[in-house]
Amino acid sequence: MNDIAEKVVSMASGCEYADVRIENVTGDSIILKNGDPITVGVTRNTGMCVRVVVKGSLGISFTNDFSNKAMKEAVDRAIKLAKSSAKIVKNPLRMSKETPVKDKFYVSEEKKLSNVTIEEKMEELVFLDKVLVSTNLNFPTRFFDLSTECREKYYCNSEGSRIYSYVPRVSLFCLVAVKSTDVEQRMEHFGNTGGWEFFRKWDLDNKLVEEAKILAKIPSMPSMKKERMNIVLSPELVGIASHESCGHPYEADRILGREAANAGGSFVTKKSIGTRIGSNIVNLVDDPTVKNSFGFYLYDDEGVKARKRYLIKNGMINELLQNRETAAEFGTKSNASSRANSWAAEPIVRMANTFVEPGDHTFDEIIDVKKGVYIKSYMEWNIDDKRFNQRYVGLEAYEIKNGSLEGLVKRPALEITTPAFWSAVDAVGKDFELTVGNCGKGEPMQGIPVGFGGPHIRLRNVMLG
Amino acid sequence: MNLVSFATKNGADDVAIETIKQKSSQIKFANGSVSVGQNWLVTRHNVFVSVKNATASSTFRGLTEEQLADAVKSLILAAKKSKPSNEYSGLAKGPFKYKKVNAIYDKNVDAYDSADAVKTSLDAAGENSKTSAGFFYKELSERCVETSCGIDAEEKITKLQLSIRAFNEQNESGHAVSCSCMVKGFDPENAGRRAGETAKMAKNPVNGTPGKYNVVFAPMAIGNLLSRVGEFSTTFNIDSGFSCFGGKVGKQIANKIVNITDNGRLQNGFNSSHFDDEGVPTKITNVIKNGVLKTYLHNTSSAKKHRTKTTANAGIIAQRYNNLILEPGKITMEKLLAGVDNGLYVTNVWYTRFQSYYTGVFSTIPRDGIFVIKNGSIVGSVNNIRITENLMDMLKNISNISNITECVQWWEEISPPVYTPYVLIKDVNVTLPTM
Repeated sequence: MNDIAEKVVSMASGCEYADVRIENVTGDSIILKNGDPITVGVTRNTGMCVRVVVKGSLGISFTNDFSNKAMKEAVDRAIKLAKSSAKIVKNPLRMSKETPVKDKFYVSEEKKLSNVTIEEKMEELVFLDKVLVSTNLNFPTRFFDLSTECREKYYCNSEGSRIYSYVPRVSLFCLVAVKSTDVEQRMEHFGNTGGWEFFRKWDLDNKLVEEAKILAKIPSMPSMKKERMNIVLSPELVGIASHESCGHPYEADRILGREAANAGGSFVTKKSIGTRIGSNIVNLVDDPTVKNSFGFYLYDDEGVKARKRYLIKNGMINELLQNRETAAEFGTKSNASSRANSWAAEPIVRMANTFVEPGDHTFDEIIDVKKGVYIKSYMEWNIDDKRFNQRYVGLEAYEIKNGSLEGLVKRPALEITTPAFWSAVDAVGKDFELTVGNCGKGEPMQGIPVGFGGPHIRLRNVMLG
Repeated sequence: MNLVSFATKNGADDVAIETIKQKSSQIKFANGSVSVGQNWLVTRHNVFVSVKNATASSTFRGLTEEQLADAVKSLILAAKKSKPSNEYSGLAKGPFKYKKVNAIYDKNVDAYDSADAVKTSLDAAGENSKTSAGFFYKELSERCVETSCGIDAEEKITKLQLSIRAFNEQNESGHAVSCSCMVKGFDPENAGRRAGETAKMAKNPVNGTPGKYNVVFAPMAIGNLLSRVGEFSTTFNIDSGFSCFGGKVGKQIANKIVNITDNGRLQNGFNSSHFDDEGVPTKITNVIKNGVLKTYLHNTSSAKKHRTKTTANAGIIAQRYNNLILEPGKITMEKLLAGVDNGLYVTNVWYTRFQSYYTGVFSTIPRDGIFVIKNGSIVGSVNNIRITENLMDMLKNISNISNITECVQWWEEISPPVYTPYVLIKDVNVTLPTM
């Protein structure tokens, strides 16, 4: 890996800037549907991305042919494309000045993923499926998609950075549908960086059974009247709201319009830093360095050292997510937000783990209201392409009366603007939980592993949609 | 080395190997300027094996011949260690004869001037808008499918795509695409012009008003919902709980004016090919005829399970639609719009998410130009609305369809492509943020 990358960087020595990222991914996957093993898979995926800057124009080549001839061609094609595009580049690319780094990092595994056989993994899923079936609930669907990967990466650039990393990752996607008087569904994603030990830590058999029992009850539950009330959100809801209405709009490339065609823009502008977006107890961060988190990394895909970023501090917009290109445009430094989901994709500004920092309330204190609703999980959600107008529809949700959780209620919806959401926060819990997902952005689309979460929070006096 | 023979010698019962050699390039632009040029020279092998009805499948990229052989051995071992699948019942038995699919390969695509296409589109958009963002993409691919059941087929495919979103102010935008396998028929200038014109029309939008509306959906907007119809028609999604079409074959699921086909052989179809992943010749399938769901989309195994014939929509594990086509009606788009007394004209939607795939309850967010129609005329522009609906209700409420079809594909919002005219749907529920 190292030798190849060095060779390619030297091939691009005439360029203003060049970097090379080589990745080698191994792993496996299993799909189990209604107890039936639909397929198993083996991952073997190797390739290289080379980026060059010529006349202020960025050219990128991707190849998985490591012959000298193919690598030279890849460099030449990147240079040629950069040169041909240069004639319609109005704003020559600049990159923030960053200190070159030489480092290696590894995520350790208590139980190495490569030592767990397909049979063992299959047995775990089959057991999980049997546990669900043993509840005697009516399941139209039980769908599990398990994947493990070990990602080796070597990054080097023409400024002297050299970084090797090894990150193992395990994840499980579940879709469970339960039929009682009607069908309700729950989609859930679990994931960590680390070894197979995390599969057990997810406590899936207890969690999924409890959730399935709830799903069976929901269809016959009453809906709530659409009126103003206090809404308590679980870490799962806080996480998706943090990701969608804070993480995305704070991506500097969106603010600059670079992803406007597909992923969209942002209600945040260059002048927004230092302005109020939420109540003063809201502290919201994006942090790649959370150990064993799904969005974990220590250096981004431009070789910049990762750190925690305070997106909202005491209710004020504090910091944006920057790569080297956007940082130069904003007159600041990169905060290591440049990520690509594979060797065959360009690094762009991405989140890692986005969450509300815990506060000082217990759960009992948070639900201590006369009237309200507690939304614990969701299925449907969306947000506009400026990240201003969002909707979350509760799946497991409870009415709150006089400080106590009462019965389940059906599909309470929160349809609200971003400033109204974060300004309504009047209590932040002591607890903390990260959920996970694959965030989509870029053209071609790049799904990338991220975490999102926080503590329970309460929104005071908001209108149920 | 012949990988199929290698796999059978190493214990696989059935083998299918799809090899794709792809040379492609892209220019992304934003703020009227190029942000990056990218190119890919990539070979990938999609390998499927079965051992005693246990299946294993993977995509391998970047491996030497020796590494690839080792990976195939690993895959066979994985299948041996897995358990038999009740869903798998063999691959299609070939060989087949393949009739030529017209206009899916154009040798001129390789030399097509990418920068010129971008500049032409930007200039056309610029006539009515301040700035634009989007991408140009071209692709040349060589695809080969070889199986242990007598298939050895190959083809060449080219693609040209331009997607452009034009802006005046942030809330005043229009989005258009041009997709073609051939240089002839590819029109980046028209896409730019249309995006710019919509952005200009969307001037000074105000907050919409919640309620029920008769809505004219432009191809980009209705294409998003029709792509769900295509996805929901595959047996994999039905059996996996990702569809509200389960148990609905033979039943009226849409207004009787709705006729939807999947055509893998469409001339200059943006996702046309001569054969599916099993090597079965692609075909035209009536999915919805006069509003009745006629069939699910099948591969050989799912067809056997459902006691029917494959519709040539493999994916061997999960089927997919090819080019989904809504049959045009007889009315012009202008007359369709003129017939609406009190309604909306929606040019695009995104972020379609379901509360329940079983019931079809979902919401989606209109973006780009959204217009108010009064007495058959556009009288203003709105924003911040959401369509909160049930897909099954919307299909039944389709009340008219225009006479010209367009090809739309963008991002994962619509992919594979949908060919659709403008569509009028009555009583569409529109909501807004409550605060």
